[in-house]
Parts: sequence; structure tokens; C-alpha cells
Amino acid sequence: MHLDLPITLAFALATVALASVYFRRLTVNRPPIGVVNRQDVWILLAGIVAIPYLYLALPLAVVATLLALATLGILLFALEPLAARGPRLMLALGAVALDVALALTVGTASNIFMAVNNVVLAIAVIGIVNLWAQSGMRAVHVAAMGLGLAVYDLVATAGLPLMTDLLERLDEIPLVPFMGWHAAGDQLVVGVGDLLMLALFPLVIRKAFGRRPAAIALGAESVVLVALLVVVEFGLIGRILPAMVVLGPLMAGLCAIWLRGHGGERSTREYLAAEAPPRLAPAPTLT
Amino acid sequence: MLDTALAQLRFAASLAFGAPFHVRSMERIVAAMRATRDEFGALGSDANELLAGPQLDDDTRRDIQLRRLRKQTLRALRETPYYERRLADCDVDPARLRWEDIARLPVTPKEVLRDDPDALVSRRRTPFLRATTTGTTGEPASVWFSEREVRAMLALSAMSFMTERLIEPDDVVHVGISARGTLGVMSVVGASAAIGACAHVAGALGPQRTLALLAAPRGLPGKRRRASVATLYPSALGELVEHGVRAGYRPRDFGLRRILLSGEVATAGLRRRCQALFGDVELYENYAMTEIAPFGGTLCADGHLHFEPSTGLVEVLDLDGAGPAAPGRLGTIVATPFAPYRDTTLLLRYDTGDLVRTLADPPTCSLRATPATSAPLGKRALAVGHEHGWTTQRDVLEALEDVPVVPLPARCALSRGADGVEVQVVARSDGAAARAAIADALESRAVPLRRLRIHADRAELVAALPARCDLRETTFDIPAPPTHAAATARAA
Repeated sequence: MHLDLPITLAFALATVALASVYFRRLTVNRPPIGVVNRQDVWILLAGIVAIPYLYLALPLAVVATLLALATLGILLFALEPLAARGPRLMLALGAVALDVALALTVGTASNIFMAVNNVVLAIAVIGIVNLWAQSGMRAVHVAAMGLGLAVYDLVATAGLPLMTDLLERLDEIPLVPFMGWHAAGDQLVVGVGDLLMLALFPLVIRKAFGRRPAAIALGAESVVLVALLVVVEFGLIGRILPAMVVLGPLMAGLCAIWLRGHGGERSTREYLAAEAPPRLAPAPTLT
Repeated sequence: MLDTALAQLRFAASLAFGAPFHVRSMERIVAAMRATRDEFGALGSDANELLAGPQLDDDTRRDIQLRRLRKQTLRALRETPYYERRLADCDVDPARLRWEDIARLPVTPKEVLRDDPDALVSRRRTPFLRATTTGTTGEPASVWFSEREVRAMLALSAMSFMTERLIEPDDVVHVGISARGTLGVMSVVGASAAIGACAHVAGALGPQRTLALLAAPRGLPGKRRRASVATLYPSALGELVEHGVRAGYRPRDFGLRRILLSGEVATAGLRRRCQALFGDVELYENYAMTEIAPFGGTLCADGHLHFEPSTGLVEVLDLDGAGPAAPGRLGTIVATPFAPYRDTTLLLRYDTGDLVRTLADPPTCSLRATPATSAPLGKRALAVGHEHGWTTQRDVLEALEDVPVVPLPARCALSRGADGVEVQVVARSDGAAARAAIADALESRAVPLRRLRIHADRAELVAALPARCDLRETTFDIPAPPTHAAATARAA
């Protein structure tokens, strides 16, 4: 067995676990008015379907610029509860600059680049899923999104060459939206879409149903992730596996069981009243 | 959430540029506010700033107001028969209007809205609702509104009620103002619907009936057991206090958390004495009138009346008609509501007839960035001028309602006497102690009292000051109200 499997797994599982820690201990600066609703789920799904085509159609330099700007914005947002404005800006700019510099100097095939890129991607994923979950996204929305992505993944990854083309094209640019590791001339990666769903699901389950269901969700999807990566690593099915085809129905099934058991989801207010999380003090701000 | 962000952008564009409101966006924001509150228990801390926009410095505010006044004046000139006539004689070019030219624009008297409200309606709008005032100082005035204006007003009041947390989802709202005050009733009922509270439009009933309704237990799912918010005229609240205490009601008989007062002067004495009946209830007072709605004023903790500058222009004109009142002087509120808040019945420099004092010093309160005056002092038509200046309704009512021997609401009359004023008042006693207490209270409020007449019955008053609690709404057959004992037995 090569090192790419344990290292990729470690990065992915650490991202998922840290997203839960962030959810419990830090508060994002959510919009003062508005709750994530069904319409947002449709918009997210539409974005997920459209973005790969956009990345394939646009010149690589434009894609890289878009990724750099988006990553910078997300890092600034994700680090907001942890650092004051000045240090936050330095950290975010430094991370993006380091990622770009490594891609240009040592190349995207280098594991030094992959390590930095994995960390940047992890922080971005943690920030995004916390914004969604702390803005009132419901478990049923995530389950529906999971089912929608399962269908999409089946078509786009297994049925069409879309994901293979995307992987090959974006492999050459910095801030690549994949988390992974190179070993023995090959690489093992987890796409950012799968990573977002993996990190998001336990958060909305914690809010909606409580600690135990969240732990079960985290455990179940970790087992599935390990199994999927093993299958890919040992080439049992193919080079690219549509992970959401397995994860989507799993999320929907678990959500349906808990919805029936609990008779509905908790609101954020009810979740906080029932399990007030130990919050860290807010980051100092310059006035 | 994304659709809410887009709706907020459209709303912000209307506030910033005066573009017509997109009512569906406003209703979308209201729905999102409710969803936010249901999910999180409260709106985010920046919600108020997000909806009201940033605070403006003086120069920016004046610039925005001048641009909006020019636009509204041009529109009035081109689109309304009344201003077509009035502005034709006026030597001012609305398109080039400067701050110092404003005084040359004609003041619009209340009589126009009484005699010919149609003449003020824009030819480009479709009027939908004719709302009428209660007519405290004479024949009621009427104002036409378009459907879009009314829907926008309902959305605005829902936003305001939600950000101020005046009405909560579990509230049972008792609407105790005159049902003829269409806009006031619609605003509260519409806001209640948007918030998820329930409203009972009881109307202006007698005190016994109102007390019985306020004390009556309710069996509504998810709601408070008794009326928890009430909208009342201050005089009606006074009437409730007087009758309620006499009938043996106590704070435990009610579930009121908040009373919203408007339409009249609410005195410190009334606020204090109402605790005997309703306990530690929060009293909220604002300044609103049908003619200039939704332009109105907010009372701050320091007792100033503040006006949102993007909604309209407020001027305080000296009572001698010579122009703007000097700092610290008495004057009447002259208001021009701006588009997009008002675009059907157009009003320029409308003389409200409401008295205020300009502030002698700049305010230092939390709302100091917005123009401000003193709290409303009553109607000019009901104030009395004399050698020492003017005595207003507030001067007299603040004094009288502070004296326990005067029943609430203070029933009184005010007239000019030799070198001062004569006051008639209904009191429980006309003994020397009562007379001295009343005279002291009046003099402490700088009322130049020359004669005091105390009556036992309000029918004896000559030219009594009007009180809106007398706007009774009756039915063919009013059932006898349940007694206090019966109400408390049912509650138990």
C-alpha cells in the first residue's frame, strides 16, 4: 500500500472532524436576515452542475484567478472568528500566495504543494459548511442535495468523461479543488464537492437531531469514505468513483430514519437551548 | 437566503435612490425576517442597520433631502391639479430648488385634504384606498393611497415592529383604536399577520368592555393566555386606569406586556399611574398621522422626536408664520413625505397643526444623526396664546395628570385669561388642598394660571379639550360586560 491512501484519508477525515469542532465552538458572521431555504439548495445544485463546464470552458488563467479570489474570500470569512482583521488578512493572503508560489515553483505534482493545498482547501471547506449550517440549513435540505448529487455524479462521473476531463485540466493550476496525495507516480484525490457534503452532513444532523445521530452520521460516512478510497486505490472498479452515488442515499436514508424518530428537525434556537456549545471568545477587533 | 439578499439589494436601491419600491421584495424581506426569527430566535444584530441604511452626516442628509424634495415638487407640479395651480404663482423652479428656496414653496393647509383630497392625487397613479383621519380638530381629512403604497406601508410597519420586537409571534394584540383610523389598524393587523401574532380589532369601546376584553382568558394555540399587546389612545388608557382601579382590577388580572400609544399626548403622570392597573408594562409612543404616512417620528429615550430623513422633510415653522422656528422655540410641524414612500397623494410642506419645540442644543442621544424636535406638544388649534407666549395641551395635561385628585384622562378646558390662561378641570374634590395641588402643578409647568375652575362633572366644562377616547364605537346591542369577579373566576 502506498502512502497516498492514509494521507488522503487523514486530510479528509481531519477536515470533516474539524468542521464539527468549528461548528460547536465558533460562530460565523451569518447574514442578519435570512435562512438557508429550499431555493438556495436548488441554486447550489445548479451551481454544482454548471461550474465544471465553466472550468472546462474558460482559459486556465481565468479559472486560476477565479479560484484564487474565491479562496481568498472564503479564507477571510472562515478565519473571522479566530483572528482580528489585520492578522486574518495576512493569513489568508499568505496561504493563497504560498499555494500559488508552490504551484509555480515546485509544481502541482509535488506533495509539498499538495500538503499546502490540502490545508487551504480544508479551511475553505470548514468555512463554507459552517456558513451553511449556522445559517439554518436543514438536514432535509442536505439529504435532498445528496440525492440530487447522487444522480448528477452517476451521470457526470460514471456516464460522461466530465470529471476525468476536469481532473486532468485543473491538475495543473494552483488552488486545485481536490484534496489528495501523490505516490508512485499516481495520485489519490477527493473532490471538493464530496468533501463539502461529508463535512456538512454531521453538522446539520447535530443541529437537527442531536449529538448521537451526528456521531453516527460521522462514523457512517467515514466508513464509506475509507471503503471508497480503498476501492479506488486498489483499482477494484476504476480510476474515478462517483462517491455521492453511495453517500447521497446514505445521507437521505439516515435523515429519513431520524426525521421519523424525532418527529421533525430542531431549529437553531432549539439546538442551542438544548446543547449550548462551549464558545471561544470572539477575536479581538481593531477599532 | 440568496433570494433575500437580492430582495435586500432592491430595497436598499429604493432607499438610496428614491426608486419605486418593489413590494414583493419588501414582502420577501418580511417573510425572511420571520423565518430568521423562527430559526434563530432573533434577527442578527445588524438587521436594523441593514434595513434603515447607514447613518448620514449632516451634509449628505441635506443633499439627499434636497434632491428628493426637488423630485417631489416637480412631480406635484406636473401630476396634481392642486399644485399645478399653487406652484404656478410661486417664483421657484423646482428643478433648481435650493435649500434657502424651500420657504418660498407654499405651505399646504389641512383644509385642502378636508375639502378636495382628489386634487392632490397624482394623475399617474391609481388610487385604491381613501383613509380618513379621526378629526380631533374639526372635520376629518382624507388621503388617497395606491394599492402599492398600502402594501409597502404594511411591509414597512412589519419590518419596524419586528426589528423593535414590539410584537412577538405568541402575542395576542388588542387593537383598541378607532376602526376609522384605517391605516393605523391595517398597520398593526398587517404586522401581526407577518409576525405570526394574532390581532383582535376591538375598536374604540367603552372602558368596561375594553377591560373585560383585556382580562379575558384566551384559548388560542401557541398564543399567550390574555391580550399581551394593546394599541390605545393615551386618553383611552387613562380611562382604563380610572375605571379599572375603581372596579378592583389588579395587574395580575392582565397579561399586557406592551402598550402602543399614539394620536395624543401621553403624559408622565399617565405612565406612572397606569402601573397601578397594569403593573410593569412597557409603554411605547410614536408620532404618526394618516396625512403624511408612512412619514412619522420616533421618540428616543431622551424624549426627542426624531424623523427619518430619507422618508420625508420636516420643518418647524414659527407660530407667527415668519419662517423656521428659532432654536428652542415653539412651532408647528410642516412635513413633506418623499417618494418612494408616497407617490399617490402628493403633499408639499403639509401643515400638520402639531406643535413641537425646536431643540435648543444638538441632541446627544442614540438617534442624534437624524433631525429631531421636542416631543409633540399637542395641536396648535387647541393651544392658547397669551402675553407670556403659548400654553400647549402638553403643558396642561402633564400638570393635571400628575395630580392624583384629577381623574384620568384629565378632562379640562383651556382659554385665554387676562395676562395668562384660565383652566377648567374635572377633579374628585374642589377643596383647598386639591385646588392648591392642581395650581402648583400647573405653575410648576410654567402655565401662567390666572383662574382655575374645578368641576365635578365633565358636562360642566366649557369648550373642553377633545379626547380620542370619546370616539366610541357602539353596536345595536352591546352585551353586558362580564364582571371583574366573573372574569377572574374564568381565568382561574
